[in-house]
Amino acid sequence: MAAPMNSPEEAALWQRWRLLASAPATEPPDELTLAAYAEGRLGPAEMEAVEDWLSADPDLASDVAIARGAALGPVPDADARIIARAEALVTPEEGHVVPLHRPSPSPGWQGVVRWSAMAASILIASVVGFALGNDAYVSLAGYQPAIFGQELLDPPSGLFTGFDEDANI
Amino acid sequence: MAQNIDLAALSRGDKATWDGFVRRYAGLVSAAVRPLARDGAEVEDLVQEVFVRLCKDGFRLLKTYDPSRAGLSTWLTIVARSTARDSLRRRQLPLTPIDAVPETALATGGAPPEKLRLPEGLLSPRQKLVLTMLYDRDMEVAEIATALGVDPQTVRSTHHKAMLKLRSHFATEEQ
Repeated sequence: MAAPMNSPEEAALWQRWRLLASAPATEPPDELTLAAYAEGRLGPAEMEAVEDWLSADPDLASDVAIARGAALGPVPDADARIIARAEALVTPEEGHVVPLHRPSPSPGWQGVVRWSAMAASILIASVVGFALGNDAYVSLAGYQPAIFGQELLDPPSGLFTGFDEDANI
Repeated sequence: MAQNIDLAALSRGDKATWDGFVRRYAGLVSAAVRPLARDGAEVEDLVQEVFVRLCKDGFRLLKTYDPSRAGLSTWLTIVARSTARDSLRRRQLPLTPIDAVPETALATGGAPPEKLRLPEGLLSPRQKLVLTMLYDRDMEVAEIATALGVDPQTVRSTHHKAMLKLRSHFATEEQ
């Protein structure tokens, strides 16, 4: 009489083999290949490669068993909420219509405002920069011009004191 | 099973085609992921993840489907199962950093690793698969026969031959 299948002794032999066996050398099969295997559509060599992977990954083996059953049986109904959630993933606009923005022929009032703001910013930066530079100039020279910008035209005589070549000979 | 789904329109994102596809296959996807889920709420979430995967990146996954290789129901079941499993793996509790584990907890006691080597091709892929389903998945002979598309006697015969090889190999190694 043959020993019963799945006996403890045989289970132990299998586990011992499991510990020693290495993973398959080939790439794991993709989902389409697994589906083809489940339907018996693979050639002998492909089938062996898939079975090698299935024996190394029991989860995949379960997937194939379930898929084979799914292919044979009727398609069950789903909960209405599940259907509504999944349907909402694709909207009518999903037809990939890309809106084109045609450039306007004239700048319009927005363009005028934009350019005016830019010009004003440049002017303010120039004035502030000039004023700061003027203050630094005055503090270095110790000279307070009577009129704004006078030092550009008539630099103070004391500005360059100490720079005379013969001063310290 | 007639599919009646315009795959080209589906891959283009046609709304009506997508809705029809969902209504037709949501039940199949639900049935595929239900054994992996803890409760009804998780089934809903997993089903949604499957459909998200199908339509994301311009329906990239759907475009890989080739009806000449396998039926749509079979392929969808495989996709649903692998998507659900990946999703559940990502939701597992975060792993403890190894530095936080005391060394004593990491020590491996017991016998040193076996130095036996398995000869190449000791078991055929079919034999390995039958043993995997029988011992790792606790599947019944009839279930395995259905899964492999063979009769139950073939499963028993495959199992018997595989066991003969294993017994012979390990008995030889131990001498």
